[in-house]
Amino acid sequence: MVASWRESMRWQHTWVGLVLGALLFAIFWMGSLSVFDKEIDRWMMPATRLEPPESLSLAPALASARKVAPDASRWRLMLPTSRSPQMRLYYPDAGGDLQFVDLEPGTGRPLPPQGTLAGSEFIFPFHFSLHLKAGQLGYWLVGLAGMAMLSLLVSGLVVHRKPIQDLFTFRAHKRLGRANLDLHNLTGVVGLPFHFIMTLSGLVIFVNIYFPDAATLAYDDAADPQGRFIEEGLGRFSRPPAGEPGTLAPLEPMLERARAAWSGEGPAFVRVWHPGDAASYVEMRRSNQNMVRINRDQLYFDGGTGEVLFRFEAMPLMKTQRFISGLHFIQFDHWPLRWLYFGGGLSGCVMIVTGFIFWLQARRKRHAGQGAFRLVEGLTVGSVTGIILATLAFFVANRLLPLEARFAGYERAALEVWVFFLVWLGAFVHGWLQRSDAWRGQCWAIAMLAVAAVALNAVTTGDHLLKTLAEGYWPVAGMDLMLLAGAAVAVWSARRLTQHRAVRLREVEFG
Amino acid sequence: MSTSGGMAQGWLRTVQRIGLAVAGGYGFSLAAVVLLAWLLSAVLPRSEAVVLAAMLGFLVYLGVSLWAFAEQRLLTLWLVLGGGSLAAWVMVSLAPGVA
Repeated sequence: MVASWRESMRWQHTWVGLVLGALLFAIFWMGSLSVFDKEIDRWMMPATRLEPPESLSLAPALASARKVAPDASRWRLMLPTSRSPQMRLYYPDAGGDLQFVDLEPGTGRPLPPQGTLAGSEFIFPFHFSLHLKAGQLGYWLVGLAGMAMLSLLVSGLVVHRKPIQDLFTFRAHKRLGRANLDLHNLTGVVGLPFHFIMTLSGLVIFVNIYFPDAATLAYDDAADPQGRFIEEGLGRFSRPPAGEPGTLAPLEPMLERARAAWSGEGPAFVRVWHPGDAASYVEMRRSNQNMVRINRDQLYFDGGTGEVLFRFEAMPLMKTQRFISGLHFIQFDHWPLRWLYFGGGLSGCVMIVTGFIFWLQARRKRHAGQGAFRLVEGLTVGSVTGIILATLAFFVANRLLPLEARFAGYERAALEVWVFFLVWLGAFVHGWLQRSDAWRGQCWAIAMLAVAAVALNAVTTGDHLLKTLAEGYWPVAGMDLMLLAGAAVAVWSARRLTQHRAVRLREVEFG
Repeated sequence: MSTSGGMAQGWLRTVQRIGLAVAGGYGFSLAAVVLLAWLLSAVLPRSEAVVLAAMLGFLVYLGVSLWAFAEQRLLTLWLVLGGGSLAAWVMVSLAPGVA
């Protein structure tokens, strides 16, 4: 019975891992980068490389909002933080799509548009939605992959008879096959708590998307059970516009009241609903900088009088859900932990790629010529080195495209995204054509693009590595250093693969 | 498994198993979440009951989807996971609030 249980888990681990490995790698890769999404923003949006403001004034930003989006139904002002010095104004356009413009925090003046989605609008949403918007398809695919990841962690543990021993085993000097499996076990077992908690917390964030019918019976008296549940659990206030013009009271007193209510902490954002209308109101959400929990502490003020309309704080279990979400989001300030998350995420990437390589190695002798084997071979290359290459191409395109670039009706930001997806697609094709030799070529390409990105940042912005290091400007210096470190790893991998190939060819020659 | 008929049957069983693990597992978990939320709402504020039940739903899903690969008898899987999914469908589509 035990043997067959282990056998069934081995089967599950092999095939679920194979089918969802590519998707999981993309999610882990983008998630690891998202840990530093704001720093990637600074690198990709040079106009936002600003000092954090010493004091906050909202009036100039509101004046800008009136100019930029006079007819929008709401404005959301994301306030500056230690990682995002600019103010970001989000507003729905005429079609209802959310747009944003960055504002200089002191003067409220719009910063020159940078024409990029950068880290927080491309890489971060890719991590959880894959940018597939139709019917939340991306969310559901990521959810499926997340559940598969949890089950792979469990089945992987069952398959390994000696998980404790795996903690201390990495025979890097052995043949690539042995070293590869050691590395898979090592990252899998050492990283297990991190990977399990991150995957589960990632699912818990979207509990309302993945179990949209959870409230059916508990709220069976409501016409819209889920809507009522969200209203009660997460707090929501709304009222329709009056249809008559009104003036907005000054926001500073509201800010003061919010700070008093939240033990001195300010809001993460200020949202003005129905601006210019007599029934306008102002929403403030407490900052997450000093707590793990992505809180739902909210204050709503009457736009005309500044009186408090509604105050909300979640109940304990909902706070727990927000705490678990916060563990995943890591929006609080903690640099050592942020680096550990980055390392943990990358160790997950290593675990996935070594799993793929193990699958291929186990079958290379018997099935090398078969179509299915070749399909997996190309899939692995494209989904591993391919997405890294595409990401670097995204960075390089960001530094190469002029600010006013337009092509075939696409805005600059969309062009960057096109570069990403076309390079990714090309990497798959290259993988299917060149087979296992494609690894080497793509490693060299990664090294070259990473170095090119660092050079282009220096040339186009003047913020070269020596300068940013001397000034201690870590968002850009850190990104450049990581690019160089990545290039070094890519060169090392390419050289190791070259040696491996020489050995393989000798084996073929001499039997 | 040696004959092609046996192979085809093996594939059919595998497809059933995966379908039961993914879809049946979800349906079963949803039924558990909806019921548990309702039961817990007797002792907790309703929104608290719902969020707790829904979070536990992921662990239920993890458990039953792994079990779907370990349990040899497909009939048992159909009864439990198929039955659970049917129960979820009945609850969600026939709940009084929806009418």
